[in-house]
Amino acid sequence: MTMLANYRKEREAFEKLLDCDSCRVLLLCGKSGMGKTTLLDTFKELSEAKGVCCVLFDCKGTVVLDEVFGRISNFLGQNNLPNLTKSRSASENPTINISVTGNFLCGMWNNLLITVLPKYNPVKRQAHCVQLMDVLTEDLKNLERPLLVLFDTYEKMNSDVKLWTELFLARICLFPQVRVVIAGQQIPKFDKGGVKKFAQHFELTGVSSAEDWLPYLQFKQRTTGNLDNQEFLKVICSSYQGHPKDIAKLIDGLSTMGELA
Amino acid sequence: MSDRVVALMQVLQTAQTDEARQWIAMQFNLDSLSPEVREVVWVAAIPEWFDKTLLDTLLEQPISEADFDKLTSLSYVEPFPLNSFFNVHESTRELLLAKLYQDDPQRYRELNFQAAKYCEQKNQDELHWKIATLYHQALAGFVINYKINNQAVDWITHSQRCNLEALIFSLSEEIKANRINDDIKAETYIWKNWEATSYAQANTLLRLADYSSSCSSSEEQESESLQVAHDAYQLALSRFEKIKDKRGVANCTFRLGDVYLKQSKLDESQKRYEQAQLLFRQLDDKLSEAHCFHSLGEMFSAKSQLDEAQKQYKKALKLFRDIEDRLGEENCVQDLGNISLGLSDFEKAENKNQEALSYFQGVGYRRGIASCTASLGDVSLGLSQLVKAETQYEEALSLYKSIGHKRGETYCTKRLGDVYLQLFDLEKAQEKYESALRLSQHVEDRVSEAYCIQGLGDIYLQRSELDKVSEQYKKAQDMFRKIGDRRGEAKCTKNLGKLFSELGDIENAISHMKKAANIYRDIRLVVNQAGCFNSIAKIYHSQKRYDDALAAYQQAIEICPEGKYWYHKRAHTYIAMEQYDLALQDIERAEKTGMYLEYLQAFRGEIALWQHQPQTAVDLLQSATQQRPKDGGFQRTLALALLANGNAEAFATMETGLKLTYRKKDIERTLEELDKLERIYGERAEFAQMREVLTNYLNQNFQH
Repeated sequence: MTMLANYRKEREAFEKLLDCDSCRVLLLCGKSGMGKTTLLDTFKELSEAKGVCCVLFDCKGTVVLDEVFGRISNFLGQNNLPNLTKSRSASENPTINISVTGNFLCGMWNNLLITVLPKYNPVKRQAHCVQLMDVLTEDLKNLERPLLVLFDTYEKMNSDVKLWTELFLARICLFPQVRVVIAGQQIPKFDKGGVKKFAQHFELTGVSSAEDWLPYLQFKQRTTGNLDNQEFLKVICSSYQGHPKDIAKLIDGLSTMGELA
Repeated sequence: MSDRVVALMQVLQTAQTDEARQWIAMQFNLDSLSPEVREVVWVAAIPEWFDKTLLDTLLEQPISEADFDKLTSLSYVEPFPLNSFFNVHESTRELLLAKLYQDDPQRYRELNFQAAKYCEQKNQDELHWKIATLYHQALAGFVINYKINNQAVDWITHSQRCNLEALIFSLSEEIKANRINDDIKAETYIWKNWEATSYAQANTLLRLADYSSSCSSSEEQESESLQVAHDAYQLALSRFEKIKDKRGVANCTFRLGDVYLKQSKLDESQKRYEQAQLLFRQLDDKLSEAHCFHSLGEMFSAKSQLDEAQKQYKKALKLFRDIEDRLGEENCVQDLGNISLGLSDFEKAENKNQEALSYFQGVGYRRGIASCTASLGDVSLGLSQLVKAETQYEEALSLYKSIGHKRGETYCTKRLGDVYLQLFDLEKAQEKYESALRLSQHVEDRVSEAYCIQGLGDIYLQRSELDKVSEQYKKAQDMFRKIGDRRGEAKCTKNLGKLFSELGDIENAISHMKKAANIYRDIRLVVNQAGCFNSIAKIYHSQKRYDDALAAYQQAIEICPEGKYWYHKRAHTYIAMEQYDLALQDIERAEKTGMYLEYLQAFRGEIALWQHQPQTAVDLLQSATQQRPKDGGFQRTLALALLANGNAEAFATMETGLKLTYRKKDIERTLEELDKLERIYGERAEFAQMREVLTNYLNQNFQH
């Protein structure tokens, strides 16, 4: 189980995201160490508990577009993606050199058509990406199962995946079964367009209430010994302005109750 | 323990900055760990991600399973989304790295060095290992700008721009923290911004393509490097055209010519050089124009259009002299020497190459020295001075190897094959041709590849493995046609003629020889044209049509009257016709050229044998055979001379000769010569015994 100190508001927003249709995209922005990854892990556990399977992409592991397509496709299965399946067979053009190196591909959707992005020309690449998105759109429109896609470390997302994600989000209003959460030190901006009304944005600034940290300290079975735990947490929350990574480090650095006994 | 907490509270009160507070938290956490785990935390911060094996490599002692579990349970260590790796959380990692770099930069570099060594051994086809290798090499302080360049070009030209982004991202973090040297910083900056401006992009591409092209000879895969260079030049060219930068266009055009020349795409190469030459003239850039002419000379040489090549080299020479570029000038002098070589003007070729060699030695230009030495080897081989040629090629080969010049290495290896073929050392010749063939395929040097295939065909021909010969010659002929090398094509046609002769199809043999003569005539290689008639004469000689042979020699002499090449052959025919005076006259003429001396010595020995001077014959033939110990013909004739002279080693020598004999007709000819010996020296028991040896050998080895 992932132990999270608070971020109650964000968790509630996520539960709403799964339960109702009005919000489909959740954006979590925060500096390094603010607990974005931990929050996403919690979301993943929550969704799995509700029977909603999800696909998590952590972009610090160099996610390539093939992987995004491959994993979504593997998750949904070919039957749910008839248009994409058709396109795939049409793309098996022997004159085009498909090259995939160092990705984490597995399953039947490896070497997917997206790898055939035209060389050099960004305009052509964009056009190609749009074309692929068109194909996927038709499939996702009619999806019968819920699909939750989580992106972590968005600032490290490469330009191809970024382009595709923007296209994907721009059409989110067409996909009643699809939900997306994006977390990062940077996140995509939606100043206009349909996606804005489906998206909710949270700025993660830390957890500065000592009370919120007490369950974490207890979960970790740490103690300050002679000092009052609550007092200790107050001091460090104030000194570190609720910065989760630093506070967690200090708590972890305390003795365990067993050691003290 | 509470003392630690009290101390922490006190120190926190005095801390002034966020950075100080962050370090206090880190230190507090580290202090709570065992010394072993604490050490591992520092080391785990070095790579962007790790597993136990990687950490074991970086640590003096391997980490225990328990300590590794402790490490991965820390709140700032998280699973990395790749395989079963972990990583130290970004902000904590940065904190640790900054501290380590500040306190002990040497250890920081040493740990990166170890990490680089570890990653380098992993599968470099996997992106994460490739990036990790470059990343740690950069942080260890290696000069790897060129590697980053090459990798960047490779990724871009293979539609893997995202891979480049990943590398740049990793390096950018280190640049931000100022832990990377300025060169790599600049290189990363170039690639990070490479799409920002067309001019910068075009220039960057040009520079990188230059690198791919120039380093290719020493790199593992020349063909891949050439393709990368080609793609990048094309891309840079289109960018320069777009922004109307004439010099950029000219530079890219010229370099594309170079790439095509290396790829043996001669027509495309010619087109590019000619375009570039006009552009450089418009820019009044004499140096670059001279290089265009010089390269056109190389291209025409590759096409075997020596007249045209000579014209271009002369144009280049004039321009190099005008601008007082001595190196360019001497390169042209050497190349003009090589043209003389192609035209079989060995004296001129030797003088020009010696002149250029002295200059190159003076300035220490190793590639020039290697090239001149190889050309002097060509002169020696052309003059049939085989031992000298062998030494010169070996010397050039070792020079080319020392500078990593694969094409030069290929050429010299192939030429050593030629030397051994002429020495009848077929085993060594085959080894060299096969080695040169592999090298030529490796560097995609199609011209050399075709010549190697042809050389192997020559060996099979000598061994009478006729079924293999045709395949080799035809393959080589096709390649020469595709490349546009007419000299190579002519040589193949001539060799096919030799094959038909071996197969007894004299009409076809002669027709091929004449076809080859016509090609040589078209490309104005007079000596080679005459050489075809020399070969026709040889065919008639083998058919004992001596008068026809003499007529063909006459034709060769009329085409090329200098007489360096034909008289020794004609002497052989006169010997067969038992016209020894005429034979001796031709031998004397031939001796004046200084060529084929061991053959001439053997002919004199043979004449002595037929003129009942067995001791003289033995002396002369022994001397000749010492120079060509692998020549079965020499050994057999020496055996006959020894037999006539009553020497017991005649049988052993004949045995050696037979082992080096691959054709039935050569043994039949020796049997005929034995008959002649008997006619001259009278019947002897040893003669009958030798006949029995030859007949048995013939029956046992050539029944079919």
